[in-house]
Amino acid sequence: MSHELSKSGAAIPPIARRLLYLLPLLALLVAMLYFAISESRRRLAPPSAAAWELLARWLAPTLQAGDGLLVDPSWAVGALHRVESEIPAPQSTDPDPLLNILDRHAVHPADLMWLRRVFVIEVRDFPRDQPPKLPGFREQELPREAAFPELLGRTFRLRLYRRTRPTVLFDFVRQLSQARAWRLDQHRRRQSCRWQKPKLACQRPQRGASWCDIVPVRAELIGTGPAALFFHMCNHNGRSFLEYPATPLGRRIRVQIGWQMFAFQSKDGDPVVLDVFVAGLHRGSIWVHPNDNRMRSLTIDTRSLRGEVRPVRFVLSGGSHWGRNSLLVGWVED
Amino acid sequence: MKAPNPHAVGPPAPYRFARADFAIALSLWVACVALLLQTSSMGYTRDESFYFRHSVTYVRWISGFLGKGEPAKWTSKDSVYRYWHSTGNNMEHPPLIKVLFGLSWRTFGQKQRRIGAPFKHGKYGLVIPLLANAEELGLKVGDRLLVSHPKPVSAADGDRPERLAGGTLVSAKPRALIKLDGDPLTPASFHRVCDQRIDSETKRPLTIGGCTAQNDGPLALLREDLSMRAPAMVFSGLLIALVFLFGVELFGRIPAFFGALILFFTPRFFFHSHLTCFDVPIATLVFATQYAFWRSESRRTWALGAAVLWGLALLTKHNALLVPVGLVLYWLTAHWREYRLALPDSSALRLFGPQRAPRWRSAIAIALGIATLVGGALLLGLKGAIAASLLLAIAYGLRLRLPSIPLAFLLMPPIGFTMLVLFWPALWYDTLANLEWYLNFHLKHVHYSQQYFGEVLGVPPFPISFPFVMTLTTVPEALVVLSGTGLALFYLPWQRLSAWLSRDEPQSAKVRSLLALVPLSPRARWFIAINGLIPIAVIAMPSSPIFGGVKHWFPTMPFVSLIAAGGFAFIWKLAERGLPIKSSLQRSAIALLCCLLLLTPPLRASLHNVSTGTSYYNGFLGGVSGAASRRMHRQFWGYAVRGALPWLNRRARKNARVWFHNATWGAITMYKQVGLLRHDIQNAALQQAEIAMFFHQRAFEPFYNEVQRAFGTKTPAHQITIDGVPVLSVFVRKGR
Repeated sequence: MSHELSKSGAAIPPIARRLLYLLPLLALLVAMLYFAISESRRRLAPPSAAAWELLARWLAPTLQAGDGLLVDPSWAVGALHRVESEIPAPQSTDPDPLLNILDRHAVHPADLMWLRRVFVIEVRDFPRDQPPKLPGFREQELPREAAFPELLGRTFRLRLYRRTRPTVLFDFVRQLSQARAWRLDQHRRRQSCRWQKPKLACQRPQRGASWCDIVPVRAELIGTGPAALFFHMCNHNGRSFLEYPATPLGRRIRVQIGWQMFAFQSKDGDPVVLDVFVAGLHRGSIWVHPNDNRMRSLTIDTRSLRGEVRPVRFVLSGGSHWGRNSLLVGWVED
Repeated sequence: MKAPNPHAVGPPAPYRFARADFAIALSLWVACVALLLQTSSMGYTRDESFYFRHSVTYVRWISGFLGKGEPAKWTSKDSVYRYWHSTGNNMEHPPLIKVLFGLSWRTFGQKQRRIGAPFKHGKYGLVIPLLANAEELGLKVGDRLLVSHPKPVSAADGDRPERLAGGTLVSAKPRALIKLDGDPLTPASFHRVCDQRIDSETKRPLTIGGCTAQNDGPLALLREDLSMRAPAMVFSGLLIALVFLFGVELFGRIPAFFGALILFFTPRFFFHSHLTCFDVPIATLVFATQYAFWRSESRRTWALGAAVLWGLALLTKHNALLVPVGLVLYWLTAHWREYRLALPDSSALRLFGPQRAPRWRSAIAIALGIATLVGGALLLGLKGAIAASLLLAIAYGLRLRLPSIPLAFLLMPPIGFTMLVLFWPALWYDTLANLEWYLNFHLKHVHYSQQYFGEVLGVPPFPISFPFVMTLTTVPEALVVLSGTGLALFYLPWQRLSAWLSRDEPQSAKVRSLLALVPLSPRARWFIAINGLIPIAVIAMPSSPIFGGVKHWFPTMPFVSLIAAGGFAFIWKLAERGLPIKSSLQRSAIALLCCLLLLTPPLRASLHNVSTGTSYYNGFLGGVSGAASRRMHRQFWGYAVRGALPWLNRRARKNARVWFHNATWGAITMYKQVGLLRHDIQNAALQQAEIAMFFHQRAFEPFYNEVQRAFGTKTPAHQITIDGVPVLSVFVRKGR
């Protein structure tokens, strides 16, 4: 009798045993076939320039003032930039009609304060993370007339989000033109800054030095952060002052600070301290250390001053004059 | 008289390869080099561009030293320091591979240089000047040269410019002069034939530059850049051949074939195999040393081979210093049964047993011992405790009997370090100070930031998981699965596990019979585990620089591939039991077919990603696009610019000023020399540039904003992508 008995006593026919021996090899081959096929699919995935152009032309008449666009995954936004000229900028208070997913966990509330609607363009075959969270926004059915043509629908999926409630009262990044700024170097010499749209241009500590300005930036490369203020540490151990003389105060002021790496060799770097003053009173500090990889946050409760308009001052101290630059984000919540 | 050690094992029997094994290894070597030569389509990395220059410098010194001049002049401190010393001459890396790059360039390189307008020379008649230093190019009077028409910008990468005429170098100094055969170029016709052609409508140049001349000999076989890259390719092929041979010894021919080729077709390894860099050569020499040591255990003559190979590894890169650590640890662990701790009869520690010491003497000895240990630990910490333990061991006559020391250990230090000092002129003067500088450079290396699941890793401490996760996500999926199988097979205590799970004897026998399908000696297990683990473990230390990604632990990869070969062998042996085929030839054919099926996806991935190798991620992370979504490091080294050169050559106006961002001056020079970039295009600072390149790398983000602001546009005029993910954007200044 060639059949063997299994432990439970049931006979295992040779063909089943053979298959059992063959199973690991077959499983391996099938798994590798799966990976090979999915790799081929990934290669086919990028939408063509023509598809993006078609999308841009389709979007153009749909966009209204106060609309934003958001591409998911965020790194694909570059392709939309390439056909940006096809999308006439809507009459928006925000000069930039494009929004980007800058963080996989959340879109920054201050980025949304200017918008009434957000179109999320999902590139179908590209791997994506969780759907973006849009605080204060709710997904809505696409209007019938806005439904995607079939041709585009194969490549993209469009979602529409509409604002249901305002979340931000005052955004420090976009209100930069209202601010006053100055710097003190390590010898306490003052360097003044003045508004030169779209940035606060500050005096260079020496001829040829660059990036001493305080500039609103939109970090859109690999998902670093939201629209932010970019401070270059022009002076070793210097101090930068940024004051908004008339800030409407609400429930909370949220401030985030982190590094935007300039140097790709980063052995240098000292900590930077951000001090926040509200109505002349010191209300909190954040320390950012050279090896901090994330944004550091501070929340200041200003409920007692609700409805009042008072100065808010940020003071950045310390830091190396090269190598690392600070990114500052802040807004007053309604 | 020395008592015999009952656990001492004699030397293992030497493995005898069949001739077919060497033939296959040689074929693999040749085939790998041939494929690498055909697929060198990536741009020049930053490091390559530096080595291009230093290789030429070193070879200039060597040719001077070996030439007719006085050798004493070349070996003087002044001369040695001028050519070999300090950061200006790349003293942070030993010279062997750079010298090979340079020698290959001198011997096999087609060095294409521009020529000037012909003129009448008093001695030679009508000649044309070569606009380069002929001596540096290795040209001497009488050498044949080939003069070519200007190369059209529409020509493909590998196209050669149309031949104009042959010629002979008639003078090398002070000016290099070429006498053309039949004088086809005259001062009158020169500008018509040789000037860069311009499109009359668009005013854009139609040719890369003007006429050029290059050396024309039977050995001038490779384009200049390829001749510099060829030595690393030869090392890569050699590594594949060696992995195959070791694999044959451990698992047989077909698994060895699989193990060798899956290493070769690991996309990042395949990419790095092309480069004028040290990473693949050092992986080869490290593995060669380790394999020679392995062979020396069965045949002592290989000890000399191990020593010489280690010397060559030391002359290649500092990673070689880790080789003895792995080999000593292997020796200590693989022979652990042969250790003996012995106490002489008079030792105060003999408290028990027939030759018991008097109690009072023992008590004093123990008290003194504890006092010494505690005192040492308190005064000097861990070091003090170790020193005190050693002192006590000596004082009490403790003797450690070690297994016999391998001959390779005795030969490696004197031969290796002598070779390092002898063949590295930078160490001929102020040896210790220069050696200290060299080691300190690497011990205190700067860190370049990496992006790792959205986190920017700029300064230590870095996550220990980094090298392991990077390996899992950048090697072929089959390699992950099969090396996992191999690891489980060879390193899990199956017999104990099966005994623990079931006391059923037949069940344990079944497990034993399955394990016996692919036998691997404990010695081999230790050897692979320790030598494979050390390079990656060193990078896993939180303070180690991680900026080079996987290339920093390439010496681990041959062992991972061998384990995968073992995994493949096991799965195949299992499958063999289920195959209803008796013929061994047919079985081998099926095994080979399976092996090729498993190798096909890595081969495709390697070829697909060859131009952007540092961007590659495997299917576990969703490929390049999946990695981009998970915010992994997208690229480094500034080489993606090569993809944009055809666009730049066609679209840039004459004398256009271009900001090349992370691409180096040396790389741009080489692009021009080999005809990939128009000669009129100028390298400019961002503020003066009209075209800007931007590399999509997290650390460069401020430049992105800066370019967009400076150029008044957010829209790239051109992009280089891989699977839809941008790696390079080209911006054109608004209004240009």
